Amino acid sequence: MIVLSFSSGRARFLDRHPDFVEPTAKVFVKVNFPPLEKGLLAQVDTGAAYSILELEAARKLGLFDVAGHQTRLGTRLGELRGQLIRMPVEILADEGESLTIEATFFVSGDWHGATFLGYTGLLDKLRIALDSPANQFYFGEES
Amino acid sequence: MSIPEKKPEPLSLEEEIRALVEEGRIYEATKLLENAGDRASTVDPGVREILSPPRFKRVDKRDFDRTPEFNWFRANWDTYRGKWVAVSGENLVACEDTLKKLLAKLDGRKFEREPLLHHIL
Repeated sequence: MIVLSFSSGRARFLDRHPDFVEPTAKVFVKVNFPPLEKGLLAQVDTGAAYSILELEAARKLGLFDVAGHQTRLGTRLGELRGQLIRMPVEILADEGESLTIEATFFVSGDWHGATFLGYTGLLDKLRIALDSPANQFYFGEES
Repeated sequence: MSIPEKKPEPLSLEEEIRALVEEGRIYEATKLLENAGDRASTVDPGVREILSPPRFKRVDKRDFDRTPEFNWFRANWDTYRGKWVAVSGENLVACEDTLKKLLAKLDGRKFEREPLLHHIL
């Protein structure tokens, strides 16, 4: 038996299949944005260039009062203006340990989509694996 | 006699990085900073911060297995599309149009399982 210490935590994930209304499959994992201290669902998206925080969570966290760095992001809905803000996000584990990640998120008053954990600057530095038949999401920091 | 054309001043490293960030070319800005060597220290710490790799910290904290909540989401997704919902076990405990209203509705209530929140889109 091979034992690999690949991850430090795991949690069940919620998936949405194309047989529902949505045309694409989606994977949601549980996160918390301190100091909100509430479990929320964020979409894991290796196709998303950056991590994006949804508008109302950003408002609740007071991020529109923070001076970030202006940038723009091309989305399927067109180009959005917004800010890059460094902030903590916790990936919540059912087993093992949860992981706090201090990462850069795109925040925009014009973004009306979901919260995404995107590739550049977050997933590209995180070890992740899906056990899809069991709906288990494994995660851990790079060593 | 012709007047010699004045060449534009070259951009500083920080100006170059800020311009890339402004244009949404974050990956290129990150690479430029990474390859700047000692010159990276001349760049504003705030700019360096947003372009730096994520930092990780393990936390000895666990959530519930949310299979019951996920069952609720699978069964009710389309009915509650557009709403912010709070689900505990297989029960919807609150539903509002905004996160602010949802949190206000949950404020002060005690649950055996802390609800899982989601904006159904």
